[in-house]
Amino acid sequence: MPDSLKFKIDGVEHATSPGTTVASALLNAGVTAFRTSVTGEPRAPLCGMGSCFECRVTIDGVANVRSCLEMVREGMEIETGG
Amino acid sequence: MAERRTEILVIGGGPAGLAAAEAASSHGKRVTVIDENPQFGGQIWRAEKQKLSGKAKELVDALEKNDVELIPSCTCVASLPEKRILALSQGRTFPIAYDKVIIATGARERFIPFPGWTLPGVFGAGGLQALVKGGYDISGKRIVVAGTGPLLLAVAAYLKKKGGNVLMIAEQASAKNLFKLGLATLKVQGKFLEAVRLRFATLGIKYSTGSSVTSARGKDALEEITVEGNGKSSTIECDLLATGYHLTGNTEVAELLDVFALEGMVIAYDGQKAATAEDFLYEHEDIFCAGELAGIGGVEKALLEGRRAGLAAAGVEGDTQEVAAEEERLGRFASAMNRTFELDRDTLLEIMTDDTIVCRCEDVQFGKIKDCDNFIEAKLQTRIGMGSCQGRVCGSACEALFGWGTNSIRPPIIPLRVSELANFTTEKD
Ligand SMILES: Cc1cc2nc3c(=O)[nH]c(=O)nc-3n(C[C@H](O)[C@H](O)[C@H](O)COP(=O)(O)OP(=O)(O)OC[C@H]3O[C@@H](n4cnc5c(N)ncnc54)[C@H](O)[C@@H]3O)c2cc1C
Ligand code: FES
Repeated sequence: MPDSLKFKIDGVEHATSPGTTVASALLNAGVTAFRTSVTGEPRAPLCGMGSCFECRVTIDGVANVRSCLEMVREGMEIETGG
Repeated sequence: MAERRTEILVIGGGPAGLAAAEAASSHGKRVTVIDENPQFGGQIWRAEKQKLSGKAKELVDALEKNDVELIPSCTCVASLPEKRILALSQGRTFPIAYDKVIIATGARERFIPFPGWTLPGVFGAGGLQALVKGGYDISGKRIVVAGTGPLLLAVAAYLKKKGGNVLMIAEQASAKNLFKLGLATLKVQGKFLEAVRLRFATLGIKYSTGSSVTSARGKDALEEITVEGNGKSSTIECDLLATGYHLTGNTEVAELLDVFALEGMVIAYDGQKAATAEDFLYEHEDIFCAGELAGIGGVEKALLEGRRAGLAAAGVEGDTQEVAAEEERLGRFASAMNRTFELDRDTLLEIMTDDTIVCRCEDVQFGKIKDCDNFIEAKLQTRIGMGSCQGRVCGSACEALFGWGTNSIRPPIIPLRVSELANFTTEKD
């Protein structure tokens, strides 16, 4: 499927195909630190299905969204590392 | 948002929930199915790029034909008085009123901590599979699959098919126990062939029984792991580690609805203690449970229980002797499977170090809780289980490590934003 959806990760333009979850798109873009833990460790998805809350990012200004449960949408702006 | 009303509310749209909705709607009932995920199908039928096929598509098509209301990306977050739940969808909360509710919230992977498991690049086994289905490209990545449970082979086969370079499967269960389970598969139609198929699909991948990952290391992300077992220790360089320790039921919604408090309730908190076929399906007046939340047993069992719960909720007599016999066979197989993949506490504890993080939300280390007597004491001292995941990860880990009963679930069962609650009004309020 062509990479027809444009979206931004931390201000940088990326593209992916429809049906891709935000978590998967971030991994494809090489993001390792989705969020920062309370002691400052980088964290990334563990469960892929909504139960661990490790994949939280900010999507279109809304903080703490579980990225494994969201689909990438055209024009979406994602911020990581929060 | 105005209150919604339905006759039969199904929470969870995996095999069990879809089968329940199909059975009930085929008997003229008005049915609503909600699922937290953006698509229906549950764990096993999680579709690649949202394209359902086979049995999943068949069921969803049938539901559409029967005018079943399907609400994806909708989570049950709390229980309200007067037979209503509070649902969250698209940033809004709203009540759904029901006459009967079928809880089919399935299972999640159980995770066991080990040094380095919080490094990016360490995933759940089913977790990595789900992310690949969601579009994660793993072609050429060096992957080790480890932990315990029937899921490991399925995941390894899938990752290999998707172009992953699967270096090894490290299974903690002993070769002897696995052989016994192999014999048990012979008694259940389909299970043996499935086992053979998976073994063929994973040919060429090193398969080590009695082995565990004892640590993962890397600077900002995973670089290498140590695998130990059968008196040997080896270091393996890899990009991804997929590790899970069998499954544990998602019992939060059942707990919200006080299913546990009802007389005659047989579901234990960790689901897996429910040992007999009858235990897996609980019916009490208006509340029914079906599928993996009440006992891990695979898709056939989930479908059968779902169908039974759907018929029962619709008030239809559906239980034939054949179904009961099949259920018993599947129940026996589930017990054999769960015994094979029972965790050995000593092995798990040996791997832990004092600075191994157990609670990933609050970064609570093993050394801080190991001398506590129970989960509540540990919680009061360290905040373990008090973060966003409400103990979904560390709770089952502590059960396995210390034998603690844990119950950190509190409504709302996922953190809500003020904005999401702000619009919560009903005509009744
Ligand atoms: C990560 C994972 C991967 C798996 N992979 C395989 C595999 O490859 N092959 C295999 O044979 N078996 C696999 N299994 C086992 C599989 O779960 C069962 O065979 C079968 O899917 C169980 O069906 P179910 O309907 O009981 O539960 P599930 O399929 O788990 O469905 C439950 C549904 O409930 C939803 N839900 C949970 N809580 C809520 C809530 N509060 N509100 C709304 N919705 C909610 C979930 O989003 C989910 O879709 C896997 C299990 C897991 C946990
Ligand atoms: S990866 Fe666990 S909640 Fe998203």
